[in-house]
Amino acid sequence: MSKEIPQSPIKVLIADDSPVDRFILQTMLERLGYRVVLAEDGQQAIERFLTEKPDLVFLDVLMPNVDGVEAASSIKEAAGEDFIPVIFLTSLVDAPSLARCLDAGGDDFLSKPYNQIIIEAKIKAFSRMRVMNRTLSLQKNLIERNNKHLLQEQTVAKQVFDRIANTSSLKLSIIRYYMSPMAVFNGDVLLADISPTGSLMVLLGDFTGHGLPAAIGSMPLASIFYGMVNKGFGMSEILREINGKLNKTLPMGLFCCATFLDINLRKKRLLVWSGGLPDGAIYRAGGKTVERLASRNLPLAILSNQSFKAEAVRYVLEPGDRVLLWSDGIQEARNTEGVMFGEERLNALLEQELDNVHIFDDILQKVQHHIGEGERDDDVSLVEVRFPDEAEAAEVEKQGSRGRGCLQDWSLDFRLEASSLRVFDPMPLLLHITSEVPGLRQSNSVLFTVISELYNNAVEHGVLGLKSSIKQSPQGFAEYYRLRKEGLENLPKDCFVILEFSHKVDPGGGVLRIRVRDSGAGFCPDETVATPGGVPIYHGRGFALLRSMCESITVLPPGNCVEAQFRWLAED
Amino acid sequence: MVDEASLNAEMLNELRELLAENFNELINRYIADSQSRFNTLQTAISELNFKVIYYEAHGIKGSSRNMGANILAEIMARLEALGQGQTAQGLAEVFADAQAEYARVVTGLEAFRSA
Repeated sequence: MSKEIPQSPIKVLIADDSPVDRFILQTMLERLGYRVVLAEDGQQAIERFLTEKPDLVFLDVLMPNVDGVEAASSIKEAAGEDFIPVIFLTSLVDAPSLARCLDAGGDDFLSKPYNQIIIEAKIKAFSRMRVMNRTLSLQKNLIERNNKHLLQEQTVAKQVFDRIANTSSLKLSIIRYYMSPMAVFNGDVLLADISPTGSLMVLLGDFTGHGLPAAIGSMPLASIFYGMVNKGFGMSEILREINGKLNKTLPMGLFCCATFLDINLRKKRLLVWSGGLPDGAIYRAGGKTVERLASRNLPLAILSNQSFKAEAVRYVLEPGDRVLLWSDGIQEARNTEGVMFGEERLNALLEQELDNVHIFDDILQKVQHHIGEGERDDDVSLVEVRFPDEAEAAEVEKQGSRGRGCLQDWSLDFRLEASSLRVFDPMPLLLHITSEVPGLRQSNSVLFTVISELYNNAVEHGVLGLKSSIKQSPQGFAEYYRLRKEGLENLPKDCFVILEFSHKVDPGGGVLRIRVRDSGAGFCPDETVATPGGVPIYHGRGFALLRSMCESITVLPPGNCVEAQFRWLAED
Repeated sequence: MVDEASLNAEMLNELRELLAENFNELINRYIADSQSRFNTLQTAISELNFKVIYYEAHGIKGSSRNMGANILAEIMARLEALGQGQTAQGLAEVFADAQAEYARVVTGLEAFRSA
């Protein structure tokens, strides 16, 4: 507690029109060590109370001007939440008069003649009450301040979250959703965006626990989701990234049940990954059937990425089909008697009318009706995606690809002269360009290996003419890199390396052709040496690696030009 | 020569102990206040102003109790009740009793004064 109760002597206001009674009581209180303030009528009593702020008030009932009962009301009102004991001085004994004093806010009576022992006992008792009351009031204020602070923090957190979870894609005509106001702070999160590849990505997540700790995980989740969807990553990469990040950052026991939908509007296909959320449903428009989307995985953040499986289940969607997802807040919504809405009630509702186009509203209405006047801190989250017809699909896609776009077919020739070869690492620049193709970005690490191997071969074996056979021993390695350094420092002016890129998309994905030509006389990349067993040993094992990664590797005569065809496949 | 019935000697001794050098001042205040109230009462009774009768009798009753003048306090209680009940009958008699008793109280108090 920051504020201590003041320990200065207790100040007592005596209001009595009788000079005799006033004098006796004043003397008694002063003898007991209290500070005394005097008033001769009710009006004066109120004035003295306001200016002197006494801890306790003795009021005669019958006084000129304002009487004691009126003065008590005014004093109690002015004291507000502060507890100021008011003790009536009276020789009145009839019950109605005493009751009137209590109604006016009097706390006790003191009858004449005054008795010093009784007076002291009363003052002490009321002082204890006053201290207790002040302590309570301070604690109450502290709680109020803390609560206000908490609400402010929640507001700020909500603003930050809303900014990260850019909800504009949730406004698409084919998405309907409901999240109760408290859902965000109970760890529910709904994300949706259209990827540059024309897929509508939807993620409904539910973090374990309640309150802000549960909501914290949704920040990295949303930021990874939007970042990666925007760059064209597929569902499995995104899931893997989210799982890994949450697994590393969330404390033990905090995880995220989630269902991820990847709906390709052109291909009419749905990929579903579900871990731990209640089974969603597909309402078939044509067949009047309902299919359930069973959870087949552990929630996000539990497994390390080594054991995490991002395998999706595939469905074909037709216009009018509806995919529904919800968090367990639906089943667990309680009514005033504490009875949950429950799985059975929900399943019955889902099976009830199979061609129900209003299923979203029906579920929501039944759940809210069930809750009634019950708990208001529910975390009900429900989302529906309706698969559109072709015209609407085109509209939706247009909204998604707004202002983005990505590289399709392109080519690039990039020539590095001697001065650049000496100091410049072209890899970040080249990968930055290839990353503009969503399908290639997914293969960034493989592509890095391929391009850097081709480039290094061109520099070291082509331009510098180094033999990789030098690297047979540890000493050889050191020698190799000494020669490389020396060679680069003394590079003749007319040396160069040319990197030619050419990218074409095709229905299955795309092909990137990389051709690296250098100013050297040509080298045999495979420098194979026959061993006693007849198996070739690759000193520069790089080429074997390249062959395993690329569709084809061709060395063009006179050996100073290597061409690699790198194929990437669309995710499905 | 204190009238034992008119004044509670034990109580006055306690008051003397409590107030010490202010005890005489207390007696002065009591006599001055009571005298003033008796004057007001007299007028109020002649005018049958019951509200004032009730109010002033109540005042004298309270301070008399505190001074140990219990008989006077009892008479004042009767007067107060007459005022509250707006009863004219007996007012003059009770007031006369009060005046007589008050004279005894004043005499008694003078004797109690500290030397």
